[in-house]
Amino acid sequence: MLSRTFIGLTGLAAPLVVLLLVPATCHAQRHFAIDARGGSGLSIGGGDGQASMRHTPAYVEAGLHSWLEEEGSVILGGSLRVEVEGRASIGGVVRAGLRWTAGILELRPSIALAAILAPYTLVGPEAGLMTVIQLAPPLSAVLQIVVDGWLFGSDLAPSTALVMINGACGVEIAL
Amino acid sequence: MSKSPSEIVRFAITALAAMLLACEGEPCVRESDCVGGNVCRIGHCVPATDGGADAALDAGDGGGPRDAGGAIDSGADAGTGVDASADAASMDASAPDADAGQDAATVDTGLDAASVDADVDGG
Repeated sequence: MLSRTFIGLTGLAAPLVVLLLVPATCHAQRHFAIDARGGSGLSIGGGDGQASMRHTPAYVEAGLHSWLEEEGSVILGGSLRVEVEGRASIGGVVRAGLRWTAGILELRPSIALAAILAPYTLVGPEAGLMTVIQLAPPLSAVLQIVVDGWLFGSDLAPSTALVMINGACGVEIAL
Repeated sequence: MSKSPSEIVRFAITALAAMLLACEGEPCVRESDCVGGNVCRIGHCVPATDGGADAALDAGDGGGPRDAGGAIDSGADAGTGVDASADAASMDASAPDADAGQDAATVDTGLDAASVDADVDGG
């Protein structure tokens, strides 16, 4: 079980590591930030003409994001996700997005591949919008709305899919 | 008809509270929403009776106190286990004395055949 989790996390993290280690061209300066968030929301499961809804188990995420100064609008990153309500599961998210800055606000729409890896599995795409509010540099507040579409995995009931609409909040620290 | 920001905030808080209060007895949407060996069938956790019985029969180590089939299988497997240990003992005993080992092997073969017959009859 642990080895499968390790392999899964490695698989999720590998593209991120490769992207982060690619040498910056044109003397672009790379920025990093770490964040911690907690969230919940609604889970809607359906299939075979039926649907059901319940609240999403609360989760916490710890993430690392990076962007280039010159490219400015492109941000890459990933998160470790742990569900902590009624179960203890671990997973990860590899994310790519854009960033727009306006004063103390920064908007980051993103797309991602998300996975829960243990003790059961869920895999699917994710789309989200993160709002970063600069409080006292390097500290910022983070608000996030994210939609997950879980299409594969052992945690899905037979012939069903699952959509999660979650909100999260937390803090980010620029490194 | 436009609502003020305070009204919107009040509505949001009310909706959030209602959602949290409605958490009790929520339907399941994931297998992990169900506990105690139940499985999720969109909205309802149902007992996994078929899967549990199959697992007990395959494993042969008993399916719990309510699974009579598992208990019978477990007994049959226990007999096989005794035979296996007897064989191992005879092989160890035959090492210092070849004649004794052959005798022991002959006796064990008879025991094995008897236990196999018992298994077939029991099955």
